[in-house]
Amino acid sequence: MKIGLLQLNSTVGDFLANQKKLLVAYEKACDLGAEFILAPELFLCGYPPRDLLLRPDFIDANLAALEETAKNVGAIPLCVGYVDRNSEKPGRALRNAAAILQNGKIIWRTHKSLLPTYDVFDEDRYFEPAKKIEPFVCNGRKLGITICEDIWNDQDFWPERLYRRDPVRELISQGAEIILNISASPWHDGKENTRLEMLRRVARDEKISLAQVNLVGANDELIFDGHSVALDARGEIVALGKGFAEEILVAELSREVRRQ
Amino acid sequence: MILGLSGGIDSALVAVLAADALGAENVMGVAMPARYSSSGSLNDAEALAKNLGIRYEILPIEPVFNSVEKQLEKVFAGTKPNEAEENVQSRLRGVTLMALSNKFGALVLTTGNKSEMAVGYCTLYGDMDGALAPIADVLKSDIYKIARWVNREREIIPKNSISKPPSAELRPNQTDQDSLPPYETLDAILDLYVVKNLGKPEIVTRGFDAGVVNDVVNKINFSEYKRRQAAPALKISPRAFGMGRRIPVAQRFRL
Repeated sequence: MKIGLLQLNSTVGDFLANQKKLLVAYEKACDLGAEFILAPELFLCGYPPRDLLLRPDFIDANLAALEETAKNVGAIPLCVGYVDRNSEKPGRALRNAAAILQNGKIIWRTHKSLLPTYDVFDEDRYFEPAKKIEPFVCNGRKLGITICEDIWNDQDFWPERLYRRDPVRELISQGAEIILNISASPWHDGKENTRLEMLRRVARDEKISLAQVNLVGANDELIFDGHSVALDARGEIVALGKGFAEEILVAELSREVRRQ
Repeated sequence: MILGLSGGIDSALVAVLAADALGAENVMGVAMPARYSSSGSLNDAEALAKNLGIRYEILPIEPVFNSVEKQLEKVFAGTKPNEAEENVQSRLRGVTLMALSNKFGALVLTTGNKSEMAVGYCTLYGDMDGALAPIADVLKSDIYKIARWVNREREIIPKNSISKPPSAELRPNQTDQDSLPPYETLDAILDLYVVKNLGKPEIVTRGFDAGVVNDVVNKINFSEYKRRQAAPALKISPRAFGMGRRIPVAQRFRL
């Protein structure tokens, strides 16, 4: 399956510009032969929006941008990060979400399970975590859609884990054949190496191909390094995005027969 | 962008970054000498500005410093010179840069590094003035590495800026190491305290002098109030001061 990775720079709160940029990049990825396209976490509103999330009109603008984007998406599905309202009460007001858009509509949604709340992260301040997630079926293929932190809880990589659940394993146990991850992962010196090593291990150990799209640019103190990546089921790099620059990549991830 | 150019390595590096990121035509370097500034430093500042092709202005603060001394003469009668006089110089430089910022609609970049910011070796409302602190998450030891890398093909940062002993030049013959341990030692202690969250006793067991550790850690703790008012720093390390490290100002935990 040809996965398109839209490694782009979004601006917090500039819904019109983010939307425009997204759609231009989407068209390009389609031209390059992508069959399923990923855009970064919270791309439409920018990352991190922080207490702008407390503004109902900010949430409304982000939802409107999602609808508007959907109208311009054709047969090739686009998965993009946005903020959803949480319908479950009691609970936090919002969800860190990903929507799949196709043929003018929002056809599927999922929410982030693991909410980082340490160092520069504050996601538990705003978002309700997903309690369970399931794969998305695309032309008979089961895709495991995850958001950033969801992929950072591999028990074989981290000596001490923060979370009980491993969304990647949950998706694989439900038949996911490819793991896809949309991220806004802030950079620090060397992090791109840790991240790649970790993702390679997930792919290798779970014998599953994996693609991650990461944000580029900088917002206030945080720098986002890109380095989006596509890995095959042996953990080998199929495609690696530039560092600190926008790029559109299309990588072929083949269906792997998972062996015991 | 506007920044003060002291002829030192930190401001030189920030100027290099600014010119690279936004184009030399969008950067102004300002030298603001006073009585303790060496002519060498002024030459280094000018050479750097030339190498980068940025606009360069010399706006001495000595006359203004004189006026402030006269203003405070009576109320300071009977006291000895201390950091008050040093800081006035730093703050007059801040005043200058902010005036240029307001007049020309440019942002001021502050040039402090992580080692200084950690121990409070910086002046509130003086050299700390600025909208953004590009290198405030870079340890002094790494500043040197980066500066040498900048100069890998040709000398952009005057080599004197890199080789001379670091100095704030706020009093006669001042060097950083009058008040601080060598940066190699300081940075190692900082890493253990700030990034790895160890206390004084554990740091000492890692092979550092107890007196030095006590002094450095106290400086870090007592300067938290300064960092509360510091410009946002670009995060390039696993633990940067700012939104990712939230320590109370009023606290008595001395370990």
